[in-house]
Amino acid sequence: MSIPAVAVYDLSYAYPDGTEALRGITFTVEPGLAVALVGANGAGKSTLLQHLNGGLFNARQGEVRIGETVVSRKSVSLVRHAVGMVFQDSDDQLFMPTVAEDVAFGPLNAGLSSEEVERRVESALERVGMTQVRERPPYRLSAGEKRAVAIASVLAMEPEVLVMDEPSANLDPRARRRLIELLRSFGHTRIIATHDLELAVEVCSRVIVLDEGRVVADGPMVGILNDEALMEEHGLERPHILRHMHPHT
Amino acid sequence: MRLADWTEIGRMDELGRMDSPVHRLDPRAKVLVSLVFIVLVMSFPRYEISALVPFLFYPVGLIALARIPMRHIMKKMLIAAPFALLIGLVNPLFDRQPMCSVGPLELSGGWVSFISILFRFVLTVSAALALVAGTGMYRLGAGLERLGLPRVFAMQLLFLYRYLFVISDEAARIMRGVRLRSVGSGALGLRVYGSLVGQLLLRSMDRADRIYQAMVARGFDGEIRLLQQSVPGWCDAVFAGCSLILLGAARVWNLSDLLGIWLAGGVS
Repeated sequence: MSIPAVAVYDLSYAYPDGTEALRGITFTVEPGLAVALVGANGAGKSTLLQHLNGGLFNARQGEVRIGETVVSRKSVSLVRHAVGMVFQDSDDQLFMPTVAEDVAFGPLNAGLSSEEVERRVESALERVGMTQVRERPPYRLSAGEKRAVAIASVLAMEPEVLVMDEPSANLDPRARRRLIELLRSFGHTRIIATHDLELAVEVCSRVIVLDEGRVVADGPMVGILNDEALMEEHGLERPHILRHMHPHT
Repeated sequence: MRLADWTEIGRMDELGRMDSPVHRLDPRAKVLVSLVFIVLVMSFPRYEISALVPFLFYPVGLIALARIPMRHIMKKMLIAAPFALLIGLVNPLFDRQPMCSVGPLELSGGWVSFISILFRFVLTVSAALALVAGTGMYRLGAGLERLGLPRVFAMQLLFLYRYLFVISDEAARIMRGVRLRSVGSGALGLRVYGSLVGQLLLRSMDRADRIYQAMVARGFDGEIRLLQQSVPGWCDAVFAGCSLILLGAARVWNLSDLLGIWLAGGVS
């Protein structure tokens, strides 16, 4: 059996003010798989995501492994290159004056040569279809373009795992559709925290349901999201798309 | 009205990304000349006016070569004008010594220094605006850092600039929320404004935290590396050299007077 791309063992975390955000979370994700992380607000999704790339690592107990590396203060720079994080608000992620500079930020920090940086910027922007906005300042872009550029800025670091927090938030239907196609086309291991259950159904094959810091369900997408009782118990709902799984087309 | 609209920062940014002989100059050369320019203009005695006139060529030349619309720079200067007016207006009140007469009009020392202050204001502010509009905030920040400005300050400047739009949008949203719920109650009290500003501060701090997280997630280690650094060429040296010599000459000799004497000499 291959080594899982992401493995979380019995992870617990409490915020300094005493709020228990995670209570013994355990799951593994095989390489190349797309997993949706769903749960009501406050279920612990964002806290969990922050543990995956070393944003937080003072877990009270348990550990997170990325490939063979245990996430710790020592391994954090390695982990951050392996795990690309796409934030919920693209404005937080696009802080450089131009799109190209922003996409180059990660590769430049990795100390790559300028030719290699240029190659990565070009290919990342091309991958998300945003080469035309290369020299524009990020704040002038639409929400959909910002999201695409934010994804490009992470792709440019060539991570093995993509972690996304609410990727479809604030997108109009067309931008959301493009995002779904883009996410489906990636070969990375993907962990996507979202309230957009229909996006989850289209992109992911597996779902992990969190509630009050615990994993309450983990398994194939369709089986779990179709369980109306389970979904409602944990502040969710059965997505409409599953009511007639045969495609509309 | 939003802060960003009011000051038309977006427009300034567009101007900064144009292409012209001025824009292509190394930012360090422009910063250096502009600083020397401002110091020289400020170094004249308080009643000086005629010797300042030749200095007008620098901002006007820069604005023309950078193809920046003059109207835009004028509008920006008007925003800052009240400050200069306030500072200058005190002078005619205290300094009533007659200095010179223009036709039947007797000008006191105070009025002369008032005019001198306004003229210096026009010179320095237009030069600074031309520098920003002809360089772009971003290249300017990078240039300042390479001139020796501590990196922390250069980064502060760039981040302030980048998030001015985001924060002014945030402020506008808060204000809209307040206005919608305070129909007919007239002006808002100081207490309301206090909590609004506090709200904005908290939101900004949260955002700063998230931005830092995003930077760290992409390997930030305290240094911002840029894609292309401009390499100074002979153009920059010629620009800086010529400008500094001309400015120096205008500081040492009163070129307006010399011109007048030369013209008068030519006539007689």
